[in-house]
Order: sequence, then C-alpha cells, then structure tokens
Amino acid sequence: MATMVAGSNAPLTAENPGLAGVMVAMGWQTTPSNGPQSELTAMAIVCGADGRAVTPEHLVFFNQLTTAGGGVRFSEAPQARADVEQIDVEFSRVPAEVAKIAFLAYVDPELRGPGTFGAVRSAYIRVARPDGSELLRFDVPQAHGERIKAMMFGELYRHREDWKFRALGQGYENGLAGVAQDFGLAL
Amino acid sequence: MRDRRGLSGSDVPFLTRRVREQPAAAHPSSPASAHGRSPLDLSAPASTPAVATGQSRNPLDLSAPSAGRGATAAAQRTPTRPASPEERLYPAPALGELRQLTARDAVVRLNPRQAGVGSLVVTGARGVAWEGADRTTGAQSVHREEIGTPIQTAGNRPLLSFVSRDAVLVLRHARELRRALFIAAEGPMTAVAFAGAGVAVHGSLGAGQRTVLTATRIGSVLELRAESVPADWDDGQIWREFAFTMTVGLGAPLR
Repeated sequence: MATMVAGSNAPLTAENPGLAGVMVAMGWQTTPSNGPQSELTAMAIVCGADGRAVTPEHLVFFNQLTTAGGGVRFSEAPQARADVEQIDVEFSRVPAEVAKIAFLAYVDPELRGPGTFGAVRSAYIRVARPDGSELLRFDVPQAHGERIKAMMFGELYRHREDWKFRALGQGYENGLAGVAQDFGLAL
Repeated sequence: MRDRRGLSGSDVPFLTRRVREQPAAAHPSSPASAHGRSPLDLSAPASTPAVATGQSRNPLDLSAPSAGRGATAAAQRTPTRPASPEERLYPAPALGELRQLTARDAVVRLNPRQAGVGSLVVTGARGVAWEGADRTTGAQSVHREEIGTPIQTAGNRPLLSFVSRDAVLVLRHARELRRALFIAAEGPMTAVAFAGAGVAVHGSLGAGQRTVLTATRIGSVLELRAESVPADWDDGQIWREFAFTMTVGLGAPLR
C-alpha cells in the first residue's frame, strides 16, 4: 500500500500484472450540525481524450449507477469499511474511447444552506483490488475548505496500454456547476 | 369474483393489483420428477407447462411473447433480466424540452441526473402533500400549516416543504419520496431543477378547474404531470382524490 501526495501518480496495471479492475473508494467525515449541513456526494466522470465527458451523460453517481458504455459502476460501500462511497472499474469493459475517469465529491447544491467543504474532515480516496486489499491511498489535504464546494479527489487514466492513478485534491469554488462546465456535463 | 379482503380500508383499489395464484397443475410441487431432472441440475432452466404450451398463460400478460406469436422454444428457455421501471416507461419529454404543460402535453420527466442534484423548486403552489417510500404521508400549506408525518433527510432538511413561498423538494434524497402533490394557488406554477431546466403550467387548465402538479418517482427518474380538479375543492378533497390518507407522525417532535 502506498500513500500519495497531491499531483503524484502511480502505475496500477504495470505494477500489478493481471489486475482486471479496481475498487475506488472515497470517504470523509462531516462535522455534525443541528441545522442544514453539507451533504457530500461522490461522482465519477468518464472522459475522452480531450478531458471532457465522452457524452454529457457519461457520469455515475447514486442516481445513475452506470454509463451506457459500461465498465464503471457506482456501488454501495460495505458498512464494515469506513468508506462512504465506492465505484468499481472493470478495465476490460471500459470502452477504448475512454482516456480517464475522474473521481470527485461535491456538496449537494440544495437551496437551504448547501454548505461547503469547511465542515468536512479526513477526506480520502483509496484504490483497492476487487478483493478489497489496498493499492493506493490519498488523504485529501484540508485547505480553504470553507470556500470549496466540489473537490477532485483523483483520476484513473490510460498510459499507453496500462492504467495509472493520479492524486489531485483540486477544489472548485463554484461547485458542481463549475465541474459540469469544465467536463461538459448535462445536469 | 374479485376478492377485496386485502383492500379493506384502502382508498386505492385501482392501484392494487392482485397476483392470481397459479393452479396447482401449472406449478408441479416436484418439478424434478415432472421433468426427470435433478432438482439441483442448473444446466438448463426447466420450462414450466404454462410457458411451454402458452395455453394457461394470462392472455393480458404482455411481459413475454407467447408461443403463438412466433417465439421459439429456445428463446423462451433463455432467462431474461426483468425490465427496470425506467425501461418500461413510455416516451415523454424531458424537463426542459417543453416550456409549458397543458392538458394535451401534461407530462415531463426529470432524467436521473436532473432528479438527483440540488432542489426542485416549485413556485405558485398553495400547498404540497407527500408520500414517502415508506408510505408515510404528510402535507404543508404555504402558510406552514402542517399535517401528517414530516420526512426529515440526513442533511437536516425536510424532504418537501415551503421555503418562503416556494415549495422545495430535496432531490439528493428523492429516493425517499414515492410521490408528491403541488396544488396550484390562483396563478401559474413553475418547476425548476438545479441547472435551470424547468416547465410552467397554468393554475387552471380549464373553466372551473385547478391544476395539481403531481411528482412521481419511478426508479431513478421523476415524472411531473399536470392534473385538474374542481377549483372549489379544498386540500382535503384533493388529497382524497389522489388517494392520500395522512399518517400520524408518532416519531415526530411535538409542536
């Protein structure tokens, strides 16, 4: 198991021959509040070579569990683990046109006090084998959380014939709207 | 004759579909002996007499083609994945494709992305009613009079309530909703989702009518439909028309 820092990358299939897929798990803790509180939602965006979503519908989250091309699936995180959300990637079923899969969490833009990442602690993303054994982990640094409404945790990307993972930790002050604009999503 | 024992006290017999028990002959108690197969032999699914002959099948059951319509026996033996609720829907415009609902074009649907992000804000409603996935029901007026069981979400927000004079549905938790009513006041109503896609509807779609915008969750989509009721009906009559019976919120805090 390797711990990553923001901006670093690590090979997956090159270092782990026979790795057919990975489980990407994300987790965080939210400071409890008596009033409306931030509700983080995990999302994965399936992107083409231009870095934008293959189509405006190419994302998975709790209300759209998979994409038309397949290979990326939103799953329930087992309660035995600390993970909040889990997304499974099966490399052989990911269409060839897909160059990367971006993993992020956003604060749900609810009308009543949507909140920010200011109330979020101990956010992380980890990449594990399908059996759950951990390959990589990135603890997302806490910085300017009170201004951030969406956060790119990391991305899986193709490198020649292999798959690699990059840790990101980049925040969006304009939240999901900014993410949708950057990736060309239809929400 | 239809057995109504299971519907006692219900306002919604038309929504309840009884599944007829199959005659004993159609489901032999020992399929293995009937087909000469081991009960643990899963190499090929055994076809039941009902499917194989197509004779004892309900003629109104359209879920699978009958042998008489040219289906091959091999196709009948192939187990098929049951269609999801979304796959069984007839086509309807997406939210944003229609600017206005009318009596003729009365339906729009929020796709899974629209139906899962932010809030659905409905303006121009005088009252709302909700039925949760757990079948609890409640209602609130624009003046904050409330009855029934409130549904509180994990983010400490009610699933459906008024904010100022707008009704707000928390779409992050739309899966906790089964259906909702938005009862028009006197003017038009609008329903707008997170990214700005929306639709408008007149408060009355005909003389002496009042519009009720219904929201029904179907799997991961949310369907909005403009319905009409007599304009002079009060909220109680409207709830009854839509088969709402308010439940008592035993777990709710005292007000």
